[in-house]
Amino acid sequence: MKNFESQYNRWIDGSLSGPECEAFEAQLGDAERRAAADWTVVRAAMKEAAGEIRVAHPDFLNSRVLELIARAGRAEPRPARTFRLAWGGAACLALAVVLTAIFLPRGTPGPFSTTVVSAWAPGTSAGAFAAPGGRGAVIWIDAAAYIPAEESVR
Amino acid sequence: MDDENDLLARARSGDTVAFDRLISLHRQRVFAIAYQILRNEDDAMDIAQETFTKAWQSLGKFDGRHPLGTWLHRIATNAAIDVVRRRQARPQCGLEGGELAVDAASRTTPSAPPPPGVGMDLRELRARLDRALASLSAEHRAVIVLREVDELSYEEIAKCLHTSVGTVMSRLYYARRHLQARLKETHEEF
Repeated sequence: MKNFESQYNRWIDGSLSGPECEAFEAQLGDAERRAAADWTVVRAAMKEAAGEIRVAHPDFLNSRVLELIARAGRAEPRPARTFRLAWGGAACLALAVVLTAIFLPRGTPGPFSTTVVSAWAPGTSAGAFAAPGGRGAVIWIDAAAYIPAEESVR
Repeated sequence: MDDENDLLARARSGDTVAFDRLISLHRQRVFAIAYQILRNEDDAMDIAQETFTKAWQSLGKFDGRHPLGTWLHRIATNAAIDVVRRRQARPQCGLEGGELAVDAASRTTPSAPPPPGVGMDLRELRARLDRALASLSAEHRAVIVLREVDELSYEEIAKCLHTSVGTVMSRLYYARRHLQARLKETHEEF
């Protein structure tokens, strides 16, 4: 049946070859052959009817669509917005990388850094690094329960 | 006259004036396909609006391998069929046995009096054809309109309707036989 449907469609479309067409038409009755022959007229009528369909208010359609677009806040197509967001994100990332490269101390402490704290108890470690020029220092102490009051940072 | 590709490029960059021109170029065809499936002027107008709004939002996805008109056609056809499916799932006024009622007062109905010069036989045929098309389901109507009026290939119709070529062939066969039968019936009434 599926093959019949396929052949029928191809027959109506006029895409069967001569021998195929003859073989297929042999399966049909006279009424079916006539109905199919009339299909050219039906097709023409369908096309003509479709060609007469008109938008009643064409300019209203345009203005309505543009209004909907504007209302939805999509004054530009979504892809364009996506690209703009992507470029904005990339620019922010690049700026962050540049700022990090400029301000973040790199590598080992500089030649002016000195250790300013030493361990005062077993198992305790302490260390600190001073920034070049003495502008600041970072001190950390690990494993110390407390810092004796008499100890001072040297 | 602006070239369509130029208008498309401008619309993609956010130019609504260019998109307005594109709407003018394609609105007739988009409205016609929606009307032929839905058979109601107001519904067809809604679909046309939806089609162009969706198209604007998805211009970046349009790859340009097929004409813009075909792409718009696809959006309109699917939107129209979706409307019918939603209504069939939730019947409401205007539906008769799952089919959309024909809006007899429609200003755009193809069954309106044909222009002078069109013979009586053709006028009768058009009226019968209109009734016969109305008796088809939206899916069958879409297939036969896309094939007979817009001359899309089976593959194009399948792609347009997100279905297989086999389903398209089957629906087309049914629609053609149904129309032939209905036209024969009405012919015998005269």
